[in-house]
Amino acid sequence: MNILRNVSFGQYIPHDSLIHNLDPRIKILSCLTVIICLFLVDNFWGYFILGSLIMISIIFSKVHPKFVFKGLRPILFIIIFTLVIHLFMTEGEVIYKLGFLKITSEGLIKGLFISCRLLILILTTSLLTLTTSPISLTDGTEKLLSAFRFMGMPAHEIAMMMTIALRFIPTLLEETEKIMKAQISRGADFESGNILNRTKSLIPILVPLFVNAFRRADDLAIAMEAKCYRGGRGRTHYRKLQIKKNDILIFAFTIIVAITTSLIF
Amino acid sequence: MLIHLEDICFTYSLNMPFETEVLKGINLEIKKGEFVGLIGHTGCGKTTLIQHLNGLIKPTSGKVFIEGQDINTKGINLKKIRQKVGLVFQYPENQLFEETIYKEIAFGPQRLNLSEKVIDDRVREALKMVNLDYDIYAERSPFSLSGGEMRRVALASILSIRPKVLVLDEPTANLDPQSRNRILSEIKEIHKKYGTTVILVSHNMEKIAEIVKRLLVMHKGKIIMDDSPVNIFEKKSKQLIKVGLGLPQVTKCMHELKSKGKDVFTGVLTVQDARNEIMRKVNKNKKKQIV
Repeated sequence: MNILRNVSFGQYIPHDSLIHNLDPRIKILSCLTVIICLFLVDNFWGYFILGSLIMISIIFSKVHPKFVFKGLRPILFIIIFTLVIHLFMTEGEVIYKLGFLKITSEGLIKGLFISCRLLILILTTSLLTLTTSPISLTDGTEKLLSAFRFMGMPAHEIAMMMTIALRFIPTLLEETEKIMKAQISRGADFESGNILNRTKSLIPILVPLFVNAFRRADDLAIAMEAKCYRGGRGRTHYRKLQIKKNDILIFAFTIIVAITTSLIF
Repeated sequence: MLIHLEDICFTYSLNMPFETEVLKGINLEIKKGEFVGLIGHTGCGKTTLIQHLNGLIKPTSGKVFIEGQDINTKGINLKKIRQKVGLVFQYPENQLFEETIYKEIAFGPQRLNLSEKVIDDRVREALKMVNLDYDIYAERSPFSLSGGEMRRVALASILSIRPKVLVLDEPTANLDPQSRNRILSEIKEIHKKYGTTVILVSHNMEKIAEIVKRLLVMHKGKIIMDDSPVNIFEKKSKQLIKVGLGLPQVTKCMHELKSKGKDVFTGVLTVQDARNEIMRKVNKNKKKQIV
């Protein structure tokens, strides 16, 4: 039952550190820069530099590496899958042969390359979510998106939807666990049987989960209305985002590293 | 011995930064046919403890025996254990999902591979146990019911498995007084008529103390009292208040009288008992005056 408890991807770990205290806008933009750069670079040296940049940031964030790598676990399957596909499916010089399967050196390099890319990609995004509370993350997104308001982008609404969705993930997980336990107590069995039976056995979980989620959404809407929520127009913020010296320095550093790496490699 | 817990310890998120020790060495024996109340402040580990009874949670250390069987050994059929120990969660109405009440209550028995006829009997019986009329309710949707009725349907859906032990987590939470009294009297009736062992979990002394024969008080992951309600209220009232549990109002009233110098028995649970005790005292004083 503890599967649901162990989801650490996207979790926020509060700390007082250089990375935690950065402005969320800077963090989002820096992550974007690193990710764009990641796709421009096409050799291992570039990845080495970007990887080190992320590793150093993780050290500065004071988040225990255990958390970072625990977040990687669910994605490990995808990485290994990509690696294996590349290993066997790329044409080129054969270095090892096992029956009809053959590993080529080109495949090996390409596979490792793509795995590195995925790995750094995930490390970057999980560093962002590990060090930024959901509230400041959405605040930052709202501010960044509002730059596109002239195109009719509903920045505030998108941010509000994000906030609500993020807020209810743990609640819904907890509720799923509770409903599962209750149905198991009534004799439900989620672990045996064929796929059809297993899918069927999800009904006793999904129906109550949806019923409760809709009820909760209704309550939330009424509560927001009661607090005079009227959308984004004219709304002020309790916490004002402010760009400080550190923010500028770090953002400049990231940009410089990213541009030079993508130019050189 | 029906239920036997041996030194149960449980820690949430073991070896993680958020590690919390919830149960700290619980030893407990419950005999067949007992009517036990388990009370404790919110967060003292009551709900965690009862989830050990049907194997939903495995203890970090310690053993759980149901009818002499260690339920956490390998190869044990937990489904059979869960059939013996029926666990009714808090707000059980939130787990309803079927189209009709009949199907809802038949869900449990259907998992036991019983024949149609037996299932039908069990549904009828379970509905009767919670005082809902089969002809009126069987084909209705469980979502069309009132809160109190929904809870009784949820209770019936456990009763239809015919558990030997019925464990109820806060069965009266968020109900109006009338529905609360109804549910409690139905539970009492089930205990009396079918000899089902009942464990009633609550954080509220009121009413629960009246109907249980044995009261367990939990505090910070330990069982700190295990006695009849009368004894606990008479002798350990101060300790109860100290751990954040109030006394029932009548009991409080009697303690108040005693502290004012009236020599009354303080282990009363109902208004009727209190009245009798006070009248006894008054009559005694009258006699003294006459003599």
